[in-house]
Amino acid sequence: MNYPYMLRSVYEAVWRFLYRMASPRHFYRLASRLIPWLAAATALTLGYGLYGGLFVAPPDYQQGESYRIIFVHVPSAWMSLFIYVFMATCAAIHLIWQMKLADVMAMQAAPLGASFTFLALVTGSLWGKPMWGTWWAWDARLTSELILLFLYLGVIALRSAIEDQRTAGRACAVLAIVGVVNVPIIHYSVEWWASLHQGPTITKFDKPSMHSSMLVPLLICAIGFQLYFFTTLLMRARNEVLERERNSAWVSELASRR
Amino acid sequence: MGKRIGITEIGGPMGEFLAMGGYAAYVWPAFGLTLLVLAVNVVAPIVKRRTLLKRLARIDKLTRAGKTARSNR
Repeated sequence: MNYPYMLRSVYEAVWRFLYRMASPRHFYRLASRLIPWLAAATALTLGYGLYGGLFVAPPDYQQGESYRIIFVHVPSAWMSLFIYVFMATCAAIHLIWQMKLADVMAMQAAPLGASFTFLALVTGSLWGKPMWGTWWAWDARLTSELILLFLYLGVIALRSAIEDQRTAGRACAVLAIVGVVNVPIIHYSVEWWASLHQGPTITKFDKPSMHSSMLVPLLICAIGFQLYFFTTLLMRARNEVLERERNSAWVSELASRR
Repeated sequence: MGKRIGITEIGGPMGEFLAMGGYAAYVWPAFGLTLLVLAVNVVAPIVKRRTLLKRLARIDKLTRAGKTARSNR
């Protein structure tokens, strides 16, 4: 087994793929092929996960049925963090390698990230009111997640505030990268500070402290939310590519065929 | 005219499911809002794509007819 040769072949294949994907036209074709499959996978996974959370998982001995909010609250929160890191990574790739497609991805990820952050906060409040007796507390987890929402909104607002597309892309990239420090703060907030919000039960270096009858639907919902993100991201990125490349031959040919 | 039934008075297993152990006022808005946001984020790019392609087709037709700044480039 010639491992160096195999490794090099894989590396070159990945590099060729990324090089082709830098072409908006190739990305458009790939996205168009992937979207229906991702959409189907999303519908099945999310449907099964929500069904499991609402019908199959047993009630909690302390919280009764109210804990079921976990099946939308936790996946939303996980997505809010994942999408920010994704956005910051694309921003860095754009800044370092001048890859326009990375800018498209970062730009279109922001509203999705903001949506999930908003959902995490609101579903959290709806869970907190019956359980903690309050809609809101300025504890570390909630406050840092609220700041994450402001960061997302800031990135979105900055994009529309700057006329020139190239400058806007660079400025938003810097803001996204600077803000990524908030993500580990959010994650570790429940360990570093005395918090109202409960500590980590799953994302820790130990066995999850949640029973599998609840954990399994939760993980399925989380995967469903991930698939949903990539489906809608590709849909948005595809539109953005059409708009940015509107003066090119392949776009006019595509539009005239309709 | 019969007695009007509120959502909290539906009996049976369906009633229990909708009541969510008394927490219906919290659980259902949480799921409802989530589905609403997810739906909006799916519908928006679909609508945008249609309008975008229509606009691009119109501009392309005008360009071929020599009526835009890009014609005869």
